[in-house]
Amino acid sequence: MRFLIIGAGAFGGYYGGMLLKGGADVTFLVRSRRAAQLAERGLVIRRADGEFMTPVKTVRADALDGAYDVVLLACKAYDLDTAVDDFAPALSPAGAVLPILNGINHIETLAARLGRERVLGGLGMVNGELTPEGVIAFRLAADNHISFGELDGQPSGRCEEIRAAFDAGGVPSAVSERIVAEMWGKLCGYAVAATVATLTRARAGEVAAAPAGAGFVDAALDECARVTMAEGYPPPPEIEDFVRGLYARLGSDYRPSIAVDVEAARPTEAEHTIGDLVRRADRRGVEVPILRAALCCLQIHEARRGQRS
Amino acid sequence: MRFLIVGAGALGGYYGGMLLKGGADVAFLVRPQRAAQLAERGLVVKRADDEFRTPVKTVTADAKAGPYDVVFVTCKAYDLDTAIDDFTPVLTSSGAVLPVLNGINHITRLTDRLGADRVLGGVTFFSVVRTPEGDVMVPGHGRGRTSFGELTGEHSARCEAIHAAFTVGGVPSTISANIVTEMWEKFSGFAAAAAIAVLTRARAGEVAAAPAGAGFVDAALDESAQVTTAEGYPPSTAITDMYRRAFGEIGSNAAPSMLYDIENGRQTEAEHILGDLVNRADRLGVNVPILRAALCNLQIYEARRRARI
Repeated sequence: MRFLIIGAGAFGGYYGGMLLKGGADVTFLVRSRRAAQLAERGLVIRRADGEFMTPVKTVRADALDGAYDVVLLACKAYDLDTAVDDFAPALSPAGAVLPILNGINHIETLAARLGRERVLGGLGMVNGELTPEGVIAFRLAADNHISFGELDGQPSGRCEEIRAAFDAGGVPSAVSERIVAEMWGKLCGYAVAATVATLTRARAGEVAAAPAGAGFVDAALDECARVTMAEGYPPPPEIEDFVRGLYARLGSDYRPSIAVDVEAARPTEAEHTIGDLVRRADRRGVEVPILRAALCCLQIHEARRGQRS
Repeated sequence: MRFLIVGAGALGGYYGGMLLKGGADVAFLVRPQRAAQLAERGLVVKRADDEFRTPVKTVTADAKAGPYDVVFVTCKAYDLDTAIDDFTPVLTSSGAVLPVLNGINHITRLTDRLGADRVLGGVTFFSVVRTPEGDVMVPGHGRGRTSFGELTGEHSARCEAIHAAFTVGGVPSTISANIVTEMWEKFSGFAAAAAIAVLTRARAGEVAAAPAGAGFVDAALDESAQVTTAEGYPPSTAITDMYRRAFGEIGSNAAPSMLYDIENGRQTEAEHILGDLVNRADRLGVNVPILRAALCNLQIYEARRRARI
């Protein structure tokens, strides 16, 4: 089973590196700058319990030759179309793409481009970040897992094979019979945190300390839940508890990745996540004033980026 | 008729200066630092086509002259209680207080302390700024209506006298038979504008250019209108449209004063404007997710300010 990893940031780098460690045949599709960095230093994963370093095979888009059995898609949503252009010719006819992007909309994009039977659902959880030196660094040793599955929830030989490859590399993984519902649940939690962080420009502890903070978080949660429910996916209680908990800890310096992107003046996945929810809400007649406010803020962020560059 | 201007910020300086220009008897109740500045430079009001400079009488809280027939309150809401302590002893028994604060809550605070018959209502759409040197600058053509009147709506000789003094000094003003309604209307629009500016931290033109901007502006205006309507004061379409238009002008650099306060690291009237509206909404069972988000945002801003001081 040949794996092609799209993107060698925290997610792609970590999962790809662990697959390699388990003995899988892994190639990274990266831009030339990251290819040079990986050629020079190898792939470096630094965790609290040690450092893992390995040489890796990289390939540029114009030099891709098939056939890969699994494409692990770990790009940003705004790079999705280019990524599909790049890897589609190299995916074997029976191959599958396993996307671990935030949001839900990319599933339809991938199904339309590749055929639904070649698309899996997936969710990643990686508590690390790519340092400027190209090292994938973790503050915690635990909680880096992945779940995935067929969109129709059926068991399949390819999912079992993928799981075995992750197992061999030491990544806790699960084949889910309800991966689409899990993706919706994650989107709900992601959207609440992204919205609260965008509208306050604050760490979780500051929101927790504000007298109006809890009411605001509840209202954001309520909006997101109403949209995903209208789409047929009421968020599970543990997602709601998790998000409330995140924003109830005084002194917490938690902030979601979108806040990091905004502060660093990087592009965000706003349209793919919050924008997608707002458009779905509008189609279904659900009122989403907070989500729309956050989308407006993020669109202003993008406009300012556009002016600077 | 003797006037005491409480607060010599931009608005107080403008009104006081114009009254003086018209020959009225005017004194400014200011802090010692501002008194020294005014003693040195005089009061300077700069307009597009002229500049007016005059020496002024200042009094500080511990050395008041008086008594005064009209106390013009232009301080910030968070300084109101101290201001009332300061000017109450020098207000004549038949004198009147004319506040031109944003919001509505200060009327109750004033009538509770002074009695309803000594309090007028006031509202202004005039926009002035104070330069770092303490001069008052009137941008553009300096248009912008100032309305005031008896809380009961009745005609009164004291309002006529104030109107005459304004007119001589060149301040456009009208005596309103519905001043309480006008205050609520301004409150409704101003609170929504403040919420939009606070959440986006952007000037009106950037909101206008964002694809989600118009929908967000409508939702914010709608929320505050729902609260003031539940209080018995539905805003007129004219005022809602005025604020909607302000956020529809691409390229506009306009912003409500609260954003200038934030940009300059100053204390805001968060609780007096958004806090009051959210409290009222909660009592009346009106859902105000955007206003609550903005209040949370400002509470975090104020907490950071306090931490710095």
